[in-house]
Amino acid sequence: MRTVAEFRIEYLRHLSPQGRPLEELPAFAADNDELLKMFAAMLRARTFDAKAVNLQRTGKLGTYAPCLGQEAAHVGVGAAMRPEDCLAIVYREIGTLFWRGVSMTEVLLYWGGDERGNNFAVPRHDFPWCVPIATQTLHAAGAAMAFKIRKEPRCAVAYIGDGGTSEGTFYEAMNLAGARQLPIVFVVVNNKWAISVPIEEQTAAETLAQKGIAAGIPGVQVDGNDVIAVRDCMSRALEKARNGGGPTVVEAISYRLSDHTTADDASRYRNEAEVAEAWKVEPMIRLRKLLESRGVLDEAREQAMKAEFTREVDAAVQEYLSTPRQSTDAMFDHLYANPPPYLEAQKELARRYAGTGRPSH
Amino acid sequence: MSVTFNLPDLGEGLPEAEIVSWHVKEGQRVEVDQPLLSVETAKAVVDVPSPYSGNIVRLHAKTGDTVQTGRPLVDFDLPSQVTKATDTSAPAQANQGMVVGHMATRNEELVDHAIVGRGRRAYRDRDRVRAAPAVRMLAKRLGVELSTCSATGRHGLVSVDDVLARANFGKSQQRSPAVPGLTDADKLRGARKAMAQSMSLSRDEIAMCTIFDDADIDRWQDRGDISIRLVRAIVAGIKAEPALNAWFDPTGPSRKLMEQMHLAIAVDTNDGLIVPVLRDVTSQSAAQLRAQLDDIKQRTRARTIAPEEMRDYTFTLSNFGTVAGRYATPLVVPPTVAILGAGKLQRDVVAGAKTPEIHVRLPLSLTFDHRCVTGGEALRFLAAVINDLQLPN
Ligand SMILES: Cc1ncc(C[n+]2csc(CCOP(=O)(O)OP(=O)(O)O)c2C)c(N)n1
Ligand SMILES: [Mg+2]
Repeated sequence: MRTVAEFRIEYLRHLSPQGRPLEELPAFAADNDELLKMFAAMLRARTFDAKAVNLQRTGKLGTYAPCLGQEAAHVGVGAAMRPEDCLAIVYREIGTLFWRGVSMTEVLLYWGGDERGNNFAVPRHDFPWCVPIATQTLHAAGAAMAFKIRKEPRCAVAYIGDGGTSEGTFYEAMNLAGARQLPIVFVVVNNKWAISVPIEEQTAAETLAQKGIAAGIPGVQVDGNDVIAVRDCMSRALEKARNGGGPTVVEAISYRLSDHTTADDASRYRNEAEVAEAWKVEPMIRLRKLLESRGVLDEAREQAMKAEFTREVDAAVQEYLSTPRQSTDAMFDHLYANPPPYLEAQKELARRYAGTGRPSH
Repeated sequence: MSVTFNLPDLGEGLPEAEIVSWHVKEGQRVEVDQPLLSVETAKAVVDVPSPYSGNIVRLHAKTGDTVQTGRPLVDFDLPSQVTKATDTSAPAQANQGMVVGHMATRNEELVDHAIVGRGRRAYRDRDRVRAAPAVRMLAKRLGVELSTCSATGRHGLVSVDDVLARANFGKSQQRSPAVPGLTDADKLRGARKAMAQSMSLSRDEIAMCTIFDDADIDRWQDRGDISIRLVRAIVAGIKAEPALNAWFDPTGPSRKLMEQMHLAIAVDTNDGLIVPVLRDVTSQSAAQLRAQLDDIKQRTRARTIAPEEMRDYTFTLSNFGTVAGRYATPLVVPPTVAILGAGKLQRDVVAGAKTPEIHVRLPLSLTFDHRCVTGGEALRFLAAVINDLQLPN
């Protein structure tokens, strides 16, 4: 017998959890302003996140899926993408959304059950929120196929979680992307948990990055709490895709420091020691230390940033809460160009229901 | 100015929460987002932050209390200008914007697990009224009891129009006349309440048909253990005709023939009718059955029997004849499909070979759900029961 195929998965990390550069940093990391911008984006996402949870707890927002702990993965991906690329999100990736120009008010509207939260003013061509996990991979593969057919130098990016990689959809999407060499990057955010299922029970594979191998797609693991490494790794994958080099699976290893959603209580299935360990390597620490060591960030500056984001969040909350309710038509209006009769009937029914004694706000 | 913060829905459609601890006191000043209290819901223990900066005037509940979603939790006194836009929780109605699904109150939604005669379907009587969440919400707002609406929608759903029709119907035409002067003390509880519910369910759902006959037990060699002979005869009946040991779901409609037989035995107690269950009766000896029966009867009368021991049965035996009564039309409780009643032993004049004779006979009443069981099946079952009972031992 002889070996006919072998695979290798590389792991990329630029900053130690304590913020020490481990090897030569990529060129963009020499630019302090650029790194500060990324730090600010992470802090902004975290500030918003905490407020969103509180809004849910006080009855002002529906169920919300926090991003706590995964800000570096999300911001790193956002920073590597070009505006004209196309993003397919799941429910947690506000760091990327904000980077791409989606507003806080839009995010609040979505989780408040308002369809306008799906209709991003910027960027117009990204996919809306989509809770069914793994479906994003096929949606993005479709977009990538379009880019390829139209010969546009654009890429699609699909998010998926560790739990999502067990879905058949993911394998179908990777197969298509591999077979057609589509310009797409599958970003697997391995936050170690899929609601209450730990990664050890999710798969027997050593890495999630290797799941692309069978579809002929190279995979790479990156420290998802190292925003420099994520951006670097993502930039390379996107550049390759844009130049006709085909797809990549990027597995960003991080940790879900929050409950799965506001309707979950992770303390029922997860031990505290594990969470305490994860807090020690959370993503803000290392970038903060690097920036402090370069003398461009200090406690006062961070507090000032934080205060500004708090004001911004509060303003967005005001705007969200004072947005007049939509009519019930909204939930039917964006499904089909020509709605089938049964949906028209439902829309009519909803209108009649809405007209009976329902408080307007 | 003063505003009330009502308990929001902390999960997805949770009806209530229990207060684990307060982190603030009356009279205290708090800042927005400062933790007010910890509550435990069916899903999680969560901290509820303050929606306002202001003074706490009143806490509406104590540690350990259960508060319904949407009910007052904390009264605040706020500096006058800050309430307007952020204040969605102050008016009780506005909270419903974030209610997901049907926000039932405890009475509507939760089921008394000590309920008798419910079979597998603990949630059955809620299922009985089928309606979309929006329709339920509408009914709730209009104060319409869903179960009093006709259900003209597809698949037996109560529609918006049904609720509206009911709302305009006027109070004079309720189903039963109201009994004046009732107080809380008159409310049925426990087994008696469960009986009222399961019997209503039975009446509403089942296509009852009852067959009467007698088993001639004159040849029994000793007086015999009637209860255990009845159990054995029912087992023989089910061997001959498995269709009566089944669960029926009319929504399919579907029928599941049960492999094991768990026999519910109706027991009369001062508190009402209780129906504990003999497990897996086909695989037990007479002595084992007797021991199990004595045990559950004793514990039933002592009211120490666990609710689980009264669930998941597949057939019912009502041995009412220990008191009086020859025949009856016992009621089948869904999802089971049959019940056998045994009346008081009779000394009957029967036709002998040439002359009248007096024989001891056991009167039998078999009720079955004719939606699911055919007349032929019921008769074959009953014939096998009688044959077995008529054996000398
Ligand atoms: C197709 C589909 N099946 C099931 C669900 C229910 N669900 C919501 S989140 C989740 C777990 C997802 O875990 P993972 O992919 O690791 O993502 P994470 O939530 O950790 O970001 C599941 C099963 C869903 N949203 N979509
Ligand atoms: Mg996960």
